[in-house]
Amino acid sequence: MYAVCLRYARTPADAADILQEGFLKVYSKLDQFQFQGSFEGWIRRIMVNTALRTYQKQRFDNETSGYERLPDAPVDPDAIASLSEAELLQIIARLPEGYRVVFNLVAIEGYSHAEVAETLGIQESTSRSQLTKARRWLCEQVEALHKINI
Amino acid sequence: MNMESNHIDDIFRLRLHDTETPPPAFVWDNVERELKKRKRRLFFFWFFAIGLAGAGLWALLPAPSSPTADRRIESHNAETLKPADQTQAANKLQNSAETPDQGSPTAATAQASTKRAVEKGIKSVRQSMPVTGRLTPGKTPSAPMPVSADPKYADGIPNTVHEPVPASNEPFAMLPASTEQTSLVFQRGQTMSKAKAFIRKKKDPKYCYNFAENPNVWMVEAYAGPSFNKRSLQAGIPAFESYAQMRRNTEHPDWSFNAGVRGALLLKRHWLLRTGLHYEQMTEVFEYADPSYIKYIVEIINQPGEPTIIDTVGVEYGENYVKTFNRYGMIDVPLEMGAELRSGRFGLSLHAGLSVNVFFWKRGTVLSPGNQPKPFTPGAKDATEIFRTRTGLSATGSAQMFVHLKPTVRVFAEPYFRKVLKPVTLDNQAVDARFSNWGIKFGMTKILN
Repeated sequence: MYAVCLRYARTPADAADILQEGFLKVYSKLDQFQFQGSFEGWIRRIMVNTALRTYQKQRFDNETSGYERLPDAPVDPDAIASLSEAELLQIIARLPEGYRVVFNLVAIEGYSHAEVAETLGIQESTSRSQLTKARRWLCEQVEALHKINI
Repeated sequence: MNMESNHIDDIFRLRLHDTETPPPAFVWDNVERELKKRKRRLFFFWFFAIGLAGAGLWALLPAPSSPTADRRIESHNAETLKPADQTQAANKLQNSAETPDQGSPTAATAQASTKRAVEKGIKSVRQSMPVTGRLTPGKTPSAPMPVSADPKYADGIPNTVHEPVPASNEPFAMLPASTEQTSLVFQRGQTMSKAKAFIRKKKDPKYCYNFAENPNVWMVEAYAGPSFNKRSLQAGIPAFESYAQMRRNTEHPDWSFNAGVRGALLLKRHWLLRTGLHYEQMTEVFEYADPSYIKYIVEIINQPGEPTIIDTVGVEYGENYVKTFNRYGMIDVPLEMGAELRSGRFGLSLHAGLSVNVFFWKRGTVLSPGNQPKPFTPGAKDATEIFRTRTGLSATGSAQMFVHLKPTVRVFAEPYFRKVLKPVTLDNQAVDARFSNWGIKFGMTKILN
């Protein structure tokens, strides 16, 4: 679960705070678990919600869509393969706030843009644009880090 | 779920979705400590809630005997009589005192009551109104009482000023014990509008305590409420001013709470002395981010016969963000003086005094003079000691607004102010911290009759 928190948090200290708060919620709401799904999935959802609430005060600028049509920067598969999980987490952690949350929710957790829009209280177009920018930013970072490594 | 997919999304998802990273060990310690703290909070919450509920229940329970209440009504009526009525009342009193049968016990009671009223200089028929002939809570007459023994009705003039009295007392006298609690005031109130009833209640002895009869009484109070802590930070010498400013920028007051119990002695109807136990929990938010925080990850290669190589393998840029809620608990033993003014069932009392403080627990983080967050929680790792335990005296002041629910029960709201006179920090600290609080107490008072 700490890895989940690390993906949403800006710093490891923030991730530790989110993990701590998330586990306190798990303990306090344990009686609400219905034993109808994966316990790990339930905890994961609590962690994600805790992380989102932590950054809920962040305001995403309402941006017009259009970036979606931009082609993503090509990324060399070897470049990502050469990076460790810790390095990938570091790259995600350096993403600007809005990009990181949307990328985590859509790309990794599998939320739809509609769900993200509802969860974060933003427009769907904003979610799409943030995701596109996040992808471009990540590609650039992965390439740059790969070049440093070699 | 999202059906859109992207190459980089897939790669990140595959690599990171199920990645496990062990969290820092301190997280579990913190979780454990927080859970214990929550249990403790829950205990205190229920402790105070049950205490307040118990005090409320005790206060609202009916008194075991009614003669006191009757005396209150008696005296209240006496106080409300106009002087013009008094001469006429005295004449009636004399006439009525001769009427009862001298041999009966009820007559003796009436006589005693009459005599007492005359001695007090209260010249009213109502003053001499004994309890005979009227059912009183807690007393069940073994046999119907002779109506003629009551001077109130002996001359055929019923008390029509405050209470609707039936033509005869016999129905009252014959009432079974289960109807003892029947309230004449309630019956009367049913026929009135709510507004009128409220206005009348202002002077109704059902709600007003007779301080004229009992000018010196003890009162017990229990209260709780929100408060706010304003802390001032002053540099000991000008050189520490920048550090003091950093502390001001990183520590911000937050809502807190207060609770307590106390006893009060009312003297000569209007003067108060109070003491008890007052608990004040103060909260602050400590928030710090170091924008120039850079962490270099270096690899040191040290081989025999070779020069040591230090290679920077990574650099982390961050903000070293720290946020904690600093909490301080202080127990006071106050000694206050005050004055109380009343109008009917409402009143206002003003208090001022001193209290002895014990700064008995604290936890949190502050910025050290080296601009590093440092915990000050006793027992914490690398904890620094900056606060004193005995902080001396506080000056307190408050204004209590109260309303009587019953003659012996009040509820009140009391805005207050409290300032700790000495700095709460140790003498060797670069910055002196001083506490002052303001808040409001909501509570209940029981007058010990």
